[in-house]
Amino acid sequence: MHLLFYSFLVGSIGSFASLVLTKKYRNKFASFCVVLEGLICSYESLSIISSGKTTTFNSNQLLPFFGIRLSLDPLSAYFILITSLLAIAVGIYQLGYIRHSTKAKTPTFIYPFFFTSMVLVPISNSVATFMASWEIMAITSILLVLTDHAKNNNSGHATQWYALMTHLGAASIFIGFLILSLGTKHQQFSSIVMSSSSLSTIEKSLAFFLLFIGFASKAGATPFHVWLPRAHPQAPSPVSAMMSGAMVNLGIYGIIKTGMTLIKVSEGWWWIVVIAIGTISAIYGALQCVTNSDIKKLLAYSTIDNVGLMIIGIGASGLLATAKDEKFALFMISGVLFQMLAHSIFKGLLFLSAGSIQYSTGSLNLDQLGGLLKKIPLTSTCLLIGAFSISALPPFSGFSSEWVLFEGLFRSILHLSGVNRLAVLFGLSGFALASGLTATAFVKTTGIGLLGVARSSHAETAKEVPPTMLFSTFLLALSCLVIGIVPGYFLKLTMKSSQLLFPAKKLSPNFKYGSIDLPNLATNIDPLLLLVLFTIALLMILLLLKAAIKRKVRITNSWGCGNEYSNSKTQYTATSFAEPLQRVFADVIRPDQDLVVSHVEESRFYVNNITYSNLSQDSIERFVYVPIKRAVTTWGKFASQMQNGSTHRYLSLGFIVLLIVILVLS
Amino acid sequence: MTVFSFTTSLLQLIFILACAPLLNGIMLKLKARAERRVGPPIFQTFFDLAKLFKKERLRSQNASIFSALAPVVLISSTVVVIIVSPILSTQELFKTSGDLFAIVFILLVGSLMIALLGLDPGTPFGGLGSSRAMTISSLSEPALLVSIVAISIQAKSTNLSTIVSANLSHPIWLVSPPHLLAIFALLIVIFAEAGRIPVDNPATHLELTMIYEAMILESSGEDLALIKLGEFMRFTLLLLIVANLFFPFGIDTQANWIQLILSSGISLIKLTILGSLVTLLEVTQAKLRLFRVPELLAGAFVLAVLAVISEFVA
Repeated sequence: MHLLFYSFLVGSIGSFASLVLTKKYRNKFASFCVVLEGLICSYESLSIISSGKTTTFNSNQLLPFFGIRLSLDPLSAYFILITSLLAIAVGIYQLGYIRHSTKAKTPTFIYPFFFTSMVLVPISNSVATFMASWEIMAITSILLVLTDHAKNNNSGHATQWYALMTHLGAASIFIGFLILSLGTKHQQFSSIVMSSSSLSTIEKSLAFFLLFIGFASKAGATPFHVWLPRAHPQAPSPVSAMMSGAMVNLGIYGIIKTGMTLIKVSEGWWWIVVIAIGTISAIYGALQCVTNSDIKKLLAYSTIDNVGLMIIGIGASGLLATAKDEKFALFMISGVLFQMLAHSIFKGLLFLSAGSIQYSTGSLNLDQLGGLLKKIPLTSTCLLIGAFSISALPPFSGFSSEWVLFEGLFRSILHLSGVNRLAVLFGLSGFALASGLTATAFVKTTGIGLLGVARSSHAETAKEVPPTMLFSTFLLALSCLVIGIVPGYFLKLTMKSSQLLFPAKKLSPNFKYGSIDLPNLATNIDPLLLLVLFTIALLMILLLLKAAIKRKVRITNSWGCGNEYSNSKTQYTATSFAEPLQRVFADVIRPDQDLVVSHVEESRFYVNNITYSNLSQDSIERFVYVPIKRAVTTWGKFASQMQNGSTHRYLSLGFIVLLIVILVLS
Repeated sequence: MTVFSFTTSLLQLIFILACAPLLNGIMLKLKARAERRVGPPIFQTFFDLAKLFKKERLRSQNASIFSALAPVVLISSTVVVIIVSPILSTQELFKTSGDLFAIVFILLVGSLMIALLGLDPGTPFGGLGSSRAMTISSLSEPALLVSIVAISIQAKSTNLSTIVSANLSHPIWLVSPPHLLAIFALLIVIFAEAGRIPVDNPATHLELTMIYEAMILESSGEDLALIKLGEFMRFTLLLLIVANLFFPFGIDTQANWIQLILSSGISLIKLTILGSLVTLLEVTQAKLRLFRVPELLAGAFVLAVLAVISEFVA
């Protein structure tokens, strides 16, 4: 625990030093401090997970009235581990990135505090401490989203959405905590755990759903996601990576903490609702991910998709726990945590690679990119590895984690009964559709962005990024590969971390050579072996071909059925690639399409000009949030009529309200 | 890993390598006969592949390393699945490999490579093909994974060898309604993934309707030969897996050498029967419009869900 405080100190030193140091040393020193903070935190969290012990820290002086209550257990250590691993990579990346993006000191100053707050949230052990660190996290991330506001008009608007949603979410969480602590005078989580069982079912359900909505909005689950695809792309790429890779995890942490520790005995139907929300998020996120052409925006939507997958898993685990099948509940929740690790790493990698592409081309619009694999091969390879991971291709991390998730859902279907089983089947179908759509989305991203011919002069003149940025993305790409090849070691880690949720039960898996083998479930997988087989097959075919065929390849123009395609505009674009799926799911996506054909004056048989526009919009935002916004505005206008500036009127209004309050209370 | 399982894997590989072009030849011949044509000899596909291997290989100047890599990756990923699947014998080469979910995603590696290959040369046809192929592939995923769940429920395992052995020891499972529903859903998905009628027509190069052929339009010489061979191998492999799920009799379970040889013969018969049924379907059915395919796949999904539900009702 004390090591964490030292790491906070290191981070703070870095951020305050960035205020006084000269431009030359500022970024270097700040990045060094963040990386050091990350290293210390990951060391401490690893040692906590392996020892399985819980350490606490209490101080009444640090925060007035309530004091500070911290507790570091293996579960929170696991979240800290993911956050710090990502923070290390991002810290290295920023060395090269900040130099080009902005001259301001603010991001360098705020970033360590953002990191620190994300470490504080999972170790908070009382309502006041939790809300305080939750708010620090919200405010620092809001400020970081605003980094580029001088250059970019959209970022102000995105920030407004984000600030509003995050504070509504915080309010919801706070009310939920208040209801939960009705039966106790204390606000420590430990006393809430004791008292929550004495609450009535209605009170418990209300608290659970208020907390769930608050945490789900931070995690970006549909329909509380509207801020996410606005705010994540607007932030600078390193911040987007941290927000999508680490901050959404804390929403997931909140859901797990609420449903599995704070409220000891949960109701089955809660989890059915949770699975429904997860499934909708997964499908909706994946669909929007397919149809968007802006790399960072589609990555943000794919975060919603992955969060949906994790929420489905949490729901299934909750159902298993209520059915007293704790062994499989433990397996399922370990799968969720494993998926979270894989997601954080590959999403961090994808956002950082997107940042590199923006660095070298100045554009993130797929319809303006193309041919980057030949121009910037190293960055493109990193993006490809991220895309393969997220598409769950073996032997990368997404495959192993989704296998565990699938296996968990399969076991849930076997061991649950009645409507619960149907709910999990629904979740599994959503999982399947989302994984198919994700593969399509990332074939689009890599195929349109990296292959073919450059669609603009920016893409034509792309230059490779500085070595620090490359080093950081390579580190993450390597992690994707390692997690994918030896998933056993990482599943062991997640099982150890989630053990305290179900302390009584133990799975006895066999993790030899990093493979996963669950003998009592007759299920196993060994990606390393598959990779070895694949490599042998590949090498043998290549050798055979080399031995058998001596002829050289002749490089020519593209054939294209005999037409000349010298113009890069005749290629498929990201929009046209997604058009079939957009048409199939038109009722959900509701794209704004417009086709204008103008004719020459002399004859209407000769076309002069064709304009086609296709704007994919967030239909939930359009059909749910915009009407709400309109209603609030109307009500505000109506209410403002009462305020005419006359002091007498305000006094009389105050008097009336006071009367009402007295009447109600008596 | 024993000598027997090693031999089995090798034999499976050789069996599929030999049978894949042969099956295609048989199907072409049958199709021609059904249409009252003489048709090519059944070994024609071997000659076609040999010819392609001899031809000069042209590559677009826009192409990246993908154009060279995709055909080889397609074949290697298929080879991995052939090695770890129970085709002639349920004796596994390695204890931890033949998971159904894993098989689906290893095959997906090959599909994604071909989709990227389509986008590589920067021509409109390639993009058209890979866009359509990915659309179909992503929509068939729910039916695929849910039918895998349905098939795995009775054996309580997603491991293919375990499922086949369990089915063999409980033959009554094979004719249970859920099993049949799941197999039917799986067959529809295989038609979609392998690009056969009613989803795609492998015999046409019509630019408005083609899907698979559009992606490999720029490939030539041994690239094209490898892709074609890979496709035949995948189709044969998928048919054999379905055959062993639906009618596993004849497959070796006891590591018996004679049974292994017999199993090859029986598999060839199974393959011919299934191939003839597919041909019959292709001759009598028209290709669906692209935007009717989602309905077909949704139908397959409903069948798979029904299979899972009826598994528990019974």
